[in-house]
Amino acid sequence: MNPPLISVQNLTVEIKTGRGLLKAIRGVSFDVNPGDAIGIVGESGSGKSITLKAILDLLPTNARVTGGKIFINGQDVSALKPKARRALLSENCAMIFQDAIAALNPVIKIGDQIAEVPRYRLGKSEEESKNIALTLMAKVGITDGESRYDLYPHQLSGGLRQRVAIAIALSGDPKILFCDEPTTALDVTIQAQVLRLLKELRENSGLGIVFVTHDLAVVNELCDDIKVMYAGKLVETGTVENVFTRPTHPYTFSLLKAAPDPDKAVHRLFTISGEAPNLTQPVTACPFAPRCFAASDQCQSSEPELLPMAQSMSACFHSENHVNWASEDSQKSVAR
Amino acid sequence: MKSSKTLYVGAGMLGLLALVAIFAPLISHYDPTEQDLMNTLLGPSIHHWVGTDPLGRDVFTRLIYGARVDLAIGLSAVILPYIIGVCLGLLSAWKGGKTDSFIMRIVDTFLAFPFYVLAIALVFIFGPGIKSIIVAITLGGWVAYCRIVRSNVLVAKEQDYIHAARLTGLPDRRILFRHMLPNVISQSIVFAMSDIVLSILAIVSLGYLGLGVPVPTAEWGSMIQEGQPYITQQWWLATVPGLMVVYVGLSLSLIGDGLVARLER
Amino acid sequence: MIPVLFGISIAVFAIVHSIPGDPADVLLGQNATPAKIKIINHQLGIDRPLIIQYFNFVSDIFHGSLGISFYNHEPVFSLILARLPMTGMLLTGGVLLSILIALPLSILAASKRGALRDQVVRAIPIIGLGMPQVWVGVMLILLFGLKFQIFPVSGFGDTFPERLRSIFLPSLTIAILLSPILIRSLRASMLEILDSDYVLTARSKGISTARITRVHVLRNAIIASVTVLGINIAYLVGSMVVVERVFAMAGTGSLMVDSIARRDYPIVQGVTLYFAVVVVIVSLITDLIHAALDPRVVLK
Repeated sequence: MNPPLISVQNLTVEIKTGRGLLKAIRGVSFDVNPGDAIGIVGESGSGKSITLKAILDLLPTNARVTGGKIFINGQDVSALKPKARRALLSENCAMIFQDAIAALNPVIKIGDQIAEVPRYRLGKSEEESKNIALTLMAKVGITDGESRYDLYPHQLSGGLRQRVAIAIALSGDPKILFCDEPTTALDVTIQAQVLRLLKELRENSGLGIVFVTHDLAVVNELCDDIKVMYAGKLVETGTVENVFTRPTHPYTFSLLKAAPDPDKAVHRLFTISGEAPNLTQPVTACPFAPRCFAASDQCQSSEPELLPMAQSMSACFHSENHVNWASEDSQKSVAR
Repeated sequence: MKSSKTLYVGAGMLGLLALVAIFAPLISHYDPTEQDLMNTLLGPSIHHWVGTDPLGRDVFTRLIYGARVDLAIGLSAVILPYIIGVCLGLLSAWKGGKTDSFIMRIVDTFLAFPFYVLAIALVFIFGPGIKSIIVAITLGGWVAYCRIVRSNVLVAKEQDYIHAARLTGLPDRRILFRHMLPNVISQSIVFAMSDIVLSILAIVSLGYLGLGVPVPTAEWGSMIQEGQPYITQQWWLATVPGLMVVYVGLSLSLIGDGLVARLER
Repeated sequence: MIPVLFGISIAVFAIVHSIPGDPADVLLGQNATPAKIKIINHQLGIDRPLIIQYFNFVSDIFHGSLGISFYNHEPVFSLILARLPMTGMLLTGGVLLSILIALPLSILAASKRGALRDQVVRAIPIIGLGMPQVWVGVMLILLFGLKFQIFPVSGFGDTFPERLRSIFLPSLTIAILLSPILIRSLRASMLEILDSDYVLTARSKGISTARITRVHVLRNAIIASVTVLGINIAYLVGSMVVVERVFAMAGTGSLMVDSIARRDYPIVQGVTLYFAVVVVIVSLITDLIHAALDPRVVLK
């Protein structure tokens, strides 16, 4: 069997902050294969975006990979020289960002930004590069590409900008598209259009997608697999179907409860009372325990590992008990 | 922590110079203006630490007496522009509308005049001397404070605590000076530190041009000018007064940086 | 721009008219008699109401007339015009050199935040902003003009290559004064640019670092420099007055300084006006350059 396209093994990332060293990622492992559609879900600060940036070697200067390995096609990227690593990464992966206007260079024509990879990385002629760019523009649903080629990012609407960003991402013909909340900044109808585009790209060209979001409805719509992240670790992983119908981690459970109905296209930021732990301090207990309805003394003694359950994987001492959570949680709510 | 250290180091450096300036007569027994034509252009020695100038005056003595003039005028010259600028900035942003655009037109006009051109023109009117320097620094300096405070007030105006204060029906004056001012003033104080440097630079430049503090008073700018013809032989004559200014500039920069760090916390 | 020019004309008019003493006294010197003073005052128009005088002043400006120098009886306008090339070369030289100094240093500093080179570059504004203009000039004379004798230390020269050589040290002085201001803002903008998502996009595209710096970073950095320069034009032009003096260049600033002792008020008035207009024009040029570089800026 071929090695996975991307294999992340026990990745740890630290960020230097004013209040000390923040352990943003504390041992995250997963594989991505061609054609996969994976949703990584968590609240802000859970480390989901940092995970993407660490994989793609785009960490800000104050952040650093401190442990673990990343393999691309079985090749350990940390063993590569920066140039070779960048080449390997950009050959296989591309990324789109939350805020398209920030992700596009304000002073370069959008057409030239799309044509940049064919022209300067793949070494195509100017003419050819322009044609590739026009084809890509059509592919991502930018009509009238010929006349829009010379526009600047600020002259486009939010939805079109994100389409340009997707066209740029596709310009290197990647196998996997990493998406860092690309629909959050858009209004609902545009959001739906962009999601439809991503879905089409996946179905028609077998593009793999790793989608980071805090929006469960989007994951339900677009992804096959879900990974729930909390305090720098994966706390539950599995197929969307299994996890959504039978969550085995109290955090996932609360998320699903807080989100209205994931089947309906209602996109709302979920809220769970309490705050995520301060990751500049060592973690000695289950980091979710202070906010958890099922927490017991055991949860204060050590941090649970991500272990396989019947259908999915969960990092909770009480996940065996998940079938009873619905009643437990409602009792607690009443008691409060 | 580190920011307080910067602040203390800067304040210490400036304080040291101020003490030296105040106690100058105790530190040096030479007279800063008394000529000694038998002993001109001497090199540094035990008797004359930085040598003597073309008129035989002790350069070290002139440097520390110069600190009196440059520091005192530099510090006091920013008071008036500070008050005027802050008040007009508050008024402009608070009233808005016609008042605002009128004050802003005046600001634009003043911005078009390079400071030294304005200063030289004022020296033309009032004659060289401290009065012209103070007027020039006031006329040239208030604009910056006005703009800083105005933009801060424009932001603060939309804050809820100001809305709340206005809803209680307090008189404008009280809202402005009690609620608004303390919140918008910090940036202008930080700027004042660099403005003191700018005003000392102005005194030095005007002194160099012969339009500043009249000779023979010891002043760093005129000392640079007097030393320039001797730059090939007695290079220190023009160099050391400049280093004094750099020292003052450095200490005020450190104070400013320390204040910024402190205010941001 | 029109209100500013209007304001400038009022300000210059006010400055000249707040001069104590009678210009006629100065003109006539020892020969002053009340009758002669009256004639002169009439010739100068000083006996008319202020508002009329102001309108005459403005209409004179529009006719390209700034009066006649009391001292050497030449038209002020042509005196200033003759010095225009020097102003232009000094400004251009100073700005170009300061960008050449500040931009690479800022990129160097921002590319490795917190490293030694960043610390060193961050120290430049702290020390540089406290350096007196005149002193920097004198130090450059000491270093380049006398120790190494590469560049002339005074005058302006007559031919273009000569002028280019003699303009170098004064321009460098201006650049050394301007660079700390530029570096302070540019380092911050560079950090912002290097951390921006569009640079991340470019990196994730697999574009070479050299091309990212050249195309994606540099252009945005130059726009940032132009913005900073735009804010500091008056400072720049003002420094020129002083720097001219240090290098004994017979420029407009020197003309003004010399005229003070001679109480030659048409020149003081003319040069003051000239510098204010230079600032306004350079601001306009900066806006044009900014608009040409930055597609987001639309000129009204």
